[in-house]
Amino acid sequence: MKKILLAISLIAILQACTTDFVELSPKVSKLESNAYITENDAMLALTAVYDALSVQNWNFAPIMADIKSDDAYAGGDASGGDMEYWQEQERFNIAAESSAPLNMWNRCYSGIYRANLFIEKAEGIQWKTDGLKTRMVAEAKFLRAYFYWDLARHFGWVPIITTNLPSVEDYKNIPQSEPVAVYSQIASDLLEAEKGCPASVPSAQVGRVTKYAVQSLMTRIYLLYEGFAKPVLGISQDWTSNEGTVINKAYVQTALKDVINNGGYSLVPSYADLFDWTNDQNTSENIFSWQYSELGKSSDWGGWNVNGNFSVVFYGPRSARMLDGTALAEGYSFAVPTWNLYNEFEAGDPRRDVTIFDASLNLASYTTGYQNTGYFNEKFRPRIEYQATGGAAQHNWFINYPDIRLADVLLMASEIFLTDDPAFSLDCFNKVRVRAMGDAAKKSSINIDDIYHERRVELSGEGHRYWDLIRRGFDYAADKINNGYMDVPADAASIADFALPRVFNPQTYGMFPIPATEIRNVNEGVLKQFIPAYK
Amino acid sequence: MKKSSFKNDSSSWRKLLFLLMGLYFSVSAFAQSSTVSGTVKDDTGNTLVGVTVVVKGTTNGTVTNIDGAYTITKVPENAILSFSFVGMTSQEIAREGKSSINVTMAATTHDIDELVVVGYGSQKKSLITGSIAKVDGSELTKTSSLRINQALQGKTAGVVITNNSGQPGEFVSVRIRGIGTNGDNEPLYIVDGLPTNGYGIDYLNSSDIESIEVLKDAASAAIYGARGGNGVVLITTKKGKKSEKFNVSYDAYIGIQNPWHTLDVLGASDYMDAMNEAAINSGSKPDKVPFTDARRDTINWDTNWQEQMLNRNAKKESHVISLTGGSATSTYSSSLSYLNQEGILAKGNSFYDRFTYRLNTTRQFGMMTVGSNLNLAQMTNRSVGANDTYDGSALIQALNLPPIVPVKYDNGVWATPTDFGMGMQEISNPIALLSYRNSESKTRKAIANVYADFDFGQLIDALSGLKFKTSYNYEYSNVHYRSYSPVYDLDPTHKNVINSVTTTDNHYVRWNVDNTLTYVKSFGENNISLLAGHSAFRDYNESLTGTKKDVIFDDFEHAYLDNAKDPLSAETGGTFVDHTLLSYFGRVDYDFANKYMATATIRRDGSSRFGSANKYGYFPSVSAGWVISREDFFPQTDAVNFMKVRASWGQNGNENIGNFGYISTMSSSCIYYFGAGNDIAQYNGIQPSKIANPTLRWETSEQSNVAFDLGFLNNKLTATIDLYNKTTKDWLITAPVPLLVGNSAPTINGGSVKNSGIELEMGYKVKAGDLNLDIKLTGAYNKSEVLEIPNTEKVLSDGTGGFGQSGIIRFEVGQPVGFFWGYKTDGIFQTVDDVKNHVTVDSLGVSRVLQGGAKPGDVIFVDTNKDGKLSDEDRVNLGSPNPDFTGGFNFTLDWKGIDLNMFWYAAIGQETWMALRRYDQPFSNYTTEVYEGAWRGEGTSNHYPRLTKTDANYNGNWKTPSDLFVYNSSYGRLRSLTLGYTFPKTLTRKVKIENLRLYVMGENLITITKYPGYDPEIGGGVFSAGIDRGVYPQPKTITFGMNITF
Repeated sequence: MKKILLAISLIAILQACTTDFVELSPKVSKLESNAYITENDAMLALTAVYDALSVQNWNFAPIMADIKSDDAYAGGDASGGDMEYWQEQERFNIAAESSAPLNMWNRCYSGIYRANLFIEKAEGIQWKTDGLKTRMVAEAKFLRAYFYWDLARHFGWVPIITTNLPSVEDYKNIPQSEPVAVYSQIASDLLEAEKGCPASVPSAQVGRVTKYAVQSLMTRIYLLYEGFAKPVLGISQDWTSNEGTVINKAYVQTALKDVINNGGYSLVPSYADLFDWTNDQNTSENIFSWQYSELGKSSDWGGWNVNGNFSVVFYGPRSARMLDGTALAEGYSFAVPTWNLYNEFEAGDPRRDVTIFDASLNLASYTTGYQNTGYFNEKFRPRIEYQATGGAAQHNWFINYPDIRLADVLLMASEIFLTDDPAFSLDCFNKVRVRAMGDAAKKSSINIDDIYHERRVELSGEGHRYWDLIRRGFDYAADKINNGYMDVPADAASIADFALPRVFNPQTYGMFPIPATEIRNVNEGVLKQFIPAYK
Repeated sequence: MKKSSFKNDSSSWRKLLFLLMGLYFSVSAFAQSSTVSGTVKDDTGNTLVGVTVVVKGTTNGTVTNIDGAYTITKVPENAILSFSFVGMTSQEIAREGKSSINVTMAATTHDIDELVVVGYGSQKKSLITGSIAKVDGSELTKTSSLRINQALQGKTAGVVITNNSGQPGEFVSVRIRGIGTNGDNEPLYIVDGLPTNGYGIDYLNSSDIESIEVLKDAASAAIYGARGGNGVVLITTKKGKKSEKFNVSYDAYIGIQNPWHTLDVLGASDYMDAMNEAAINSGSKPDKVPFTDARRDTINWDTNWQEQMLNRNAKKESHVISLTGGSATSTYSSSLSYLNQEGILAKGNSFYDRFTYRLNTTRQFGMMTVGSNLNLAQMTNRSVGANDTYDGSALIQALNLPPIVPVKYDNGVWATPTDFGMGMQEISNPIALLSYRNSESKTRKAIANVYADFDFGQLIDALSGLKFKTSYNYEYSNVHYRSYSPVYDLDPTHKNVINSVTTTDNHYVRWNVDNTLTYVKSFGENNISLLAGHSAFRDYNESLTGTKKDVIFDDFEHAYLDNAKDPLSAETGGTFVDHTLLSYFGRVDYDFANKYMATATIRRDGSSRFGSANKYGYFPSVSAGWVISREDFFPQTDAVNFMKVRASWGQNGNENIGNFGYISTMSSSCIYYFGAGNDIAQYNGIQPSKIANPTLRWETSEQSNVAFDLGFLNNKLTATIDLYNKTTKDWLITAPVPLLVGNSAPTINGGSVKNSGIELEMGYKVKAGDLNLDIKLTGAYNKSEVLEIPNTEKVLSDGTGGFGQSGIIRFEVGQPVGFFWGYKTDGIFQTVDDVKNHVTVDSLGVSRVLQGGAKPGDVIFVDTNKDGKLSDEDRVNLGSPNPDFTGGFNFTLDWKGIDLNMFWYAAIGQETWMALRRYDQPFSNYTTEVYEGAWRGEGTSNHYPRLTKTDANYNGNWKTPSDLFVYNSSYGRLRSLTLGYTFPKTLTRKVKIENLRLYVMGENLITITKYPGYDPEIGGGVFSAGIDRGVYPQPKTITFGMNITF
């Protein structure tokens, strides 16, 4: 008995009387202080920056662009209120409280934070491989430029942050920069990325940025700068980096030739193969893709940590059965192609059936959604045979988003060289057209409308059309956007869903308001709405 | 490692211990110079067992044995002996040299001098200066509640207990004196010394409870410092009594449960009419409505989905066998219990089943008493979603499913709305979905407590009053979960292409050590009691989970991972969480002549949850009391015979914020993929999981309390009135930071709320011949006001109502906590002119039409801020899910063996957000109330709008968060009504039965409320309380039971 009592008393007293008893450290995660040491750590830190680019968070940027264009309606379930902020965008009636601008803003500044953090932590990494630091910093800068570009085209006036600040309070007092300064920041990062990124990557690194990806993005931004930023936002100077390098037409012409002649890219012989799920996602035509996979077995209905291509499920029809009775993978019937898009395809253009899934030809039954056209995006429509079995089925589609592919670059070249080098311009144009429709479709002369038509049928469903419309002037854009929307067959069963006409509002500049919560969360008066419609 | 002085001193402690051990064996050698003995009986002549006999002013004492006899040694000639026993009036008798004193004790009608458990000790009720409510274990067994905190509802003023749902085994939310924080508002529970939370007391059986004390004010809770901020619930389990004869008792009941009401929803014919009406109102042509005459002919079903979901006459049963007893030096109390409860929904998928075993023993060895409490428990449960808009919730599916959908077709195939071209997303055939559910959770617990009490006064008179107690508590629990997901294809949203098995194991360990030294001393009329203590606490848990697909058996019975054969599908996870607290505390109690009392407490806590900057916190309190009725000037009348005033002030903490909030841990969930084709590989990108805040500190609540205790009519009538004012500040919140920061916001301190209120407890006990009457009334009123929120908006909002309704619960400076936030409505547009005339004239004098898109029959929303548009800024306070007033009324009567108990509970001044219909789904069914009340032309309705398919792009009648969803949900409930009969002992003793009582009990027999949903009682966290998404209702139960003692 004595011994037991003694033991109890001693255990009781000994067990807990040390002051480090309350000093615990986490057993299941690293701390910031020991996480950035090796080159492998650096790779994982850079991965985080790429991840931010691919974040969809319920507001996949290419879908939002398409539903504002004449290519797609918002759609969704029969209520017409599913994803209301998409329906708002479709009507150019976007509230500052809407979560779509908020999520775009969030994704971009998260990416910028991660890029800035990488650039800061790169200094402390124990680098062993020559040139690796330069290359990885260049990749981070490309990605940072991408985020600022998304900010520039969606918001225009935004704060520029290029180093992470010591306290959260410091972020509450950063005024917005003029769009011209934002574009300059983008130019600076892209120019450095152009220098530091490799011309090619080995198979295991596919998905990482190459020099040609940088040059292609530069061209795309140049076109928006010339066609939109200058006339609409009132910028007079050419696109110039902070250091004074000017990215003008000559610069992008050189860059384009570099991509086309030296990049080693080639058009996939059959257009259908590009979007065939059985094929490798990274073809000879892909210059820069957002990589998605089912490997992560994601399941995050919050939307931030979804690592498959969540957008896929949005495109599919609801509760559909094929003619033979088999069920299709469940979709949400968003971003349904317009009749106007369907009719844009020339007779015999095989791209129509690669782009548009026609329910009336393929389905025995489905639950019709809002703004039902009977058409669905075929490029990214969910395929039941590829539905992942790990994680949430909706979250783990492995199809990449082909952000920049050679056909796009060729058509941009065709546009940019249209007057300066008509032969080269026509050649680029015909390459794309012939690949799809054969030699018979070859044209002998083209104008800007031909290029626009070709871009639309070649790239539809990929999120580019809206920006092409916007950069051709608001009159042109409004004409296409409004009339394309109202191009509804008189006998359409869903005609009531189009009762309200769509009116493009030039006062919005086709852009987003600064998120209201962001204005509230910084110091009073620091963030302002500069776009007239949102003031 | 730095060691504390305590540890350094352990060698001298050891010496002392040895010394004490040795001394114990020589105790008997002390001369028994002066012994007093006698017998204690009650006024009917029965001997009383377990009466405490103490030499006044000392700790020298004993208890009466099985024959009511006592012997007490070392009694000075001029000593006064005090005799006390629960339920009897205490007596003090001067020895006057006698060696034999026989006593007759009278039953008391008041409880002024009963002992109340306080932190690390107990105190006479009349001397208490804080605010402590006590509930006797016998009160708890008057309902068949499964969780013992549930049974506290209405028993104590100021403790608001809300059932989260009627699901068996469901957690209950307990709020002591309002809601003080945006975070965790649950009180701290201490079960026989082991700190735990409301989830952790599931193993306790109400018949095992001796008493529950609720420490409501800061001064009482301050002894638990860092975790007393939401109040403390002390639970003491039954111990045997010394010299008590061996008692065996068997308590059992069996009952049936039913829903107390169902909702009136449309049948098939009305449903089809409603769908057609809505379609036409939404612009459909009459020949294009969903249910044309031709189609109606094809519809053969009229399913009452609620009835399909209900499990009527659900069973509930309980059996408890307890043994208690004691010898002169030891006591024991043991019980074995079994409880099983079926849920009133989802037969086979909602039940709770519990076995428990308890053994409490003590043994005295001279100056030392060693005790142990052991609990073993196993709980098995299966549950369905209890209050959820989306998957899994049972009632929301039943309410929304079209009645035209059958459960099964004639060929045995499950039916779904999709078959009728009415895909409804998450909503589908709930009976079919339940048939695919195969999961079970088993919790096994072992809780052990060993302690040793040293009474140095038994050793040397000079040390009289000095006691040391060391206590060690240990809890191990294992929560084992296993599920089997079969292959099924109900509809495209509800299907599973490959079967899988999941097993999860969670191990929880929790221990604490308390060492306390107490010293009690009287100098004349001055009584002083000192307490010094030390406590260390740790809890940690480790989990392991695995999932694997392609199972070779298609049933739950064989759902083990080894039967799953797809190696690539294996997913595993496991984590570890750790938390420690190190504390020192002290208390001084002083009273003069039991007339003037004062107490001061301080506790210092160190917690692993905070960084070095703020690791330690100090929690002081002071309190004082004055028993006015003991003053000479107080008139000695029976009309007012007791009067006491007391006041207290103190500070408590709250550290319930999860672990490592102060440092920046790394997240590796920034996943991306590189590599083409077969070279693709996943990279788990890293970034800090959030911005760190090394200066994070405790949430602190500061509370003042003033109270009056009154006794009238010779204490037949007692009353206690408490007034309090409680300010909780430095909430631990994640204040929004600009997204410009690029990472998640840090946890910071900020925000405060004031709760103030008044509590009343009244008791009336009267005995008239064979009739005993006991009436108890409790009532509490609480008012809260948010004082500060540390963000630019001065607002926190969250909480989702119906589909697409977010931010419906709000914290705002100057407003009560957690109110419902939405638009005000002003009836229905009756005419086109009404729409045109619904304008605001803005500051420039321009008239602005507010709802240009509206049509007659649509809802009128109010532009409360008159800015010419409807926006979030027009949303206002629409009510609160938290009651202003709660009260209980307990009526007990016994007469010649017949006992009757009635208990009412009421919560007044609360609202509920009713989000039962999925308005985003046009084919959802309607309640009859909304359907019949709908607007159908001028003057037909000014409340419910016209039916529309959906209205998101037009007026948002049912999408807009508005007062149309908010209902007054004040209610009163006859919680229990019991009628029992105890057979005369003369009869039962013939068959060796000491006591035999049979009873019938009804629970929730009457509910008085205007709330039209399932149940007005909807608990939850601060951002989910009071939102009804088809809450699992409380059952109405009829129980038959018996108590037998041998």
